[in-house]
Amino acid sequence: MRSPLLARLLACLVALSMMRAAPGLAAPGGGEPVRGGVIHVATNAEPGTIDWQSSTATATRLVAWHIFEGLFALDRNYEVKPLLAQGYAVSPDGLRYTIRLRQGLKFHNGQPVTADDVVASLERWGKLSSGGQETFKAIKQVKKVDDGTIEIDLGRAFAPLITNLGDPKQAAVIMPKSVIEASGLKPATELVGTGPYIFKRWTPGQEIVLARNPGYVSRTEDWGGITGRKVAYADEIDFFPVTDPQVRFSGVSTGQYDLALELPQDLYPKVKADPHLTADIVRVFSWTGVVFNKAHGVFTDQRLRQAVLFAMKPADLMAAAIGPKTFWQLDPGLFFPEQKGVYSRAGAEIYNHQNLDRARALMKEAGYHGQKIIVMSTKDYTWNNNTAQVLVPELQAVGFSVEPQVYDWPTLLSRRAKQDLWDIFLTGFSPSIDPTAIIFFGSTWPGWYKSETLEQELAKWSSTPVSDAAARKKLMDQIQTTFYTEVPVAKIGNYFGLEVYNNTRLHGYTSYFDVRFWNTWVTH
Amino acid sequence: MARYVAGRLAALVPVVLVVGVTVFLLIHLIPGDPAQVILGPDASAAQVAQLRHALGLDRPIYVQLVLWFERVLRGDLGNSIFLRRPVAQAIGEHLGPTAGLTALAEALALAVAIPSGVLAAWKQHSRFDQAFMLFVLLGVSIPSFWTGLNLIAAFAVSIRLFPVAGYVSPARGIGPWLGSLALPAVALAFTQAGLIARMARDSTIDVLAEDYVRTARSKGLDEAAVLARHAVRNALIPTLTVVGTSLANLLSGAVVVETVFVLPGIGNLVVQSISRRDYPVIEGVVLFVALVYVVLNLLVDLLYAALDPRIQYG
Repeated sequence: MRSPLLARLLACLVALSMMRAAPGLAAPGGGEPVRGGVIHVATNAEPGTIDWQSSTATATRLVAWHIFEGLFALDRNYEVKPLLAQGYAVSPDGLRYTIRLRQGLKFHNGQPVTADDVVASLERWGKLSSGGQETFKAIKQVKKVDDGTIEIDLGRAFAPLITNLGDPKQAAVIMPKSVIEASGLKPATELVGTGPYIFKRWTPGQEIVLARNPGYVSRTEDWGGITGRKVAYADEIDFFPVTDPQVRFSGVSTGQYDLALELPQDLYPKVKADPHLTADIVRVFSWTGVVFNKAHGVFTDQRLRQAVLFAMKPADLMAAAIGPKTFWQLDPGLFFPEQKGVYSRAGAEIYNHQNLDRARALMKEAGYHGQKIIVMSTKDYTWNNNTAQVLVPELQAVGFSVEPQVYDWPTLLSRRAKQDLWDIFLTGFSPSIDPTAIIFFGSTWPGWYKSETLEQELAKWSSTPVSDAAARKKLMDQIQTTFYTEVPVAKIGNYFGLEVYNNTRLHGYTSYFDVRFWNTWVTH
Repeated sequence: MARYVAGRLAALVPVVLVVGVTVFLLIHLIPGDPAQVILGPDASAAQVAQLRHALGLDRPIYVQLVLWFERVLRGDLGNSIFLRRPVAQAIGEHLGPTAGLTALAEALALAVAIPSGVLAAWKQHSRFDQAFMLFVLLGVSIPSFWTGLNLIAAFAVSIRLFPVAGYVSPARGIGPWLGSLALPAVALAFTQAGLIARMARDSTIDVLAEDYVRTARSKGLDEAAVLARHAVRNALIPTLTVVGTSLANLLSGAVVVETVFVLPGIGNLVVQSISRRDYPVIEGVVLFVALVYVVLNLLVDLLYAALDPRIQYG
């Protein structure tokens, strides 16, 4: 005979499963937005800092963009639109940009946003961020015209200026001048911005809490993305760092969390089977690539980099790395198909065309004679090491002598900075918004890519007005062709993220490349 | 006794010295860079170098070691690179959840292990003893993270008795606090209970075979009195050694359990700090844990004397 306790537990289980299956008991759907409540978010990592100017990390960005805002930002179509800026004018020679601020803007500390704050913020961004450093190579000076207007004088035409000011990677956000002066080039600890949420507290290892900004001055346009109309419906957003993906999933299915970030793709069938959960498949997420050491070792020879490209079979690599086909896509683009302004299919005749004979011929032509190549990967990201498990035998199949090395992510980051320690490492690239901002095109980023051809093409791109779409399309095709000819990185494929939210509690949520919680409300 | 305790406490100085220098060198010699972690994977070499300089990480390692040790001797463990607060304060803030978790886990483990171990010894070779041995085997074999994930699936997802993860401070109510620690404490206690119960059973079996137990039985004492008055107290001395070391082991077990259940304790702090290469925190936590080990061992030695009058120090 079963014990009464066991019988009670079983009865509980049956009752709960019946409740979960009964559609009539589900919480109300989206409906009218509701003010109040707390949005609970289970994140996969805790940021090193929330100062968005200081860090390129995703963990920083998805908290920080609720707090901070820049002059410009991406809309839902990944195009740059004004945010704190009212608008801008360009002089006929393209060398002077006059940017007007919106009226009535205030920081979270109550101070008005002035041109002085903007000038100080942009100058700091120009020193801290790699995109900012590139942009400031073209800038002669940033100066205040009056309290609500600044001017940016360029030394040469630089069409991506506004795009770079709206780049969400290490963004050019505006902070009070006093905060800039206090923090210098160190990550700021006083987190004062203009966004719809105010930084409230950060208990390391436990939670980051943001509170609604009652004085937020919103735009009115329905632009989506990171700009346009933003309404902070929830009183608070609480971010919880939950490293175990199974625990994140359990938490969102029980309603302890409203949304769980970056779940493993193999949980997708379970998500689909639960009517209270909605899977958000993030298509503009990341693409994976094989990064070559172009400063030291065998891959200084372009022909051997091409040989790797022909030795790889992207479909096998993506299947091993990511799993279900729902979550990956073979595409030659440096940008994602959704980024219509910069997307190109140039190089499609080379990408995903495995040709082992051609690979061997290129190796022979380059005089490769069995030098050992070191392939670094990490187990901290499952897809990364899984990719290496397939890549290594594929390279060995054409005759490369390969030594795989597996490290934790901080160690890999440290080793990849040293030119004599590696030949290949695997990494993922989050979306860029302009070719001048593609990280591996920089000569100082690990891989140390230097190309006169590319520099000339990027220079042309920079001097071509954004309005000349046909010329930009042609240039983008040329840039991507160079990418497939010189192969600084061998692209493997696009992979999609899986975010899951509890649809009985979280409403108004829209998919984007990272999660945002303005215009989103909870019914707890 | 006082001289013995003073001598043991004085032995802390070389322990701190050896542990401190070893940990400092180990973590600085393994690759990894807090500046790179703060700046993110897309940061340029120049940005990383700039921040390394600002954080003082570009100084020679021996200079950093001397500066750190000078501060430690003054009782200052330095400042966390990420948390932007003194290491001692960070340890203090993370101590509460770990102390609560280990105390609960130890209490649970003892409450289950001692009575069942004694009972299994008394009923040696019975069905109960066989079931007990299976329990012990599972306890010491199953890793605590796996136990933890299964407890979550059963008691947080299927039967929603407890939260999936997270910590509630006792300031917000004893009930919610116990609720947040219940599953992690059970996961942690399972392994400890196995170890302690096995020792309690074996030492009780040994004691039950002693002459004085036979004498007690022959003079007509009932079994309960024999067990309670004569067997258990003597069997507890070797068990106490295991309890002492298991308390220290709980700290290392807490590293895994705190990570699974997202408890902001010392274990979670050290895991986060290692992945971020937050050198001052790693050094401070390891020194702190070394001190806890030494003090716990001293307390166990002193308890021997309290339990067994034949043992005397000094």
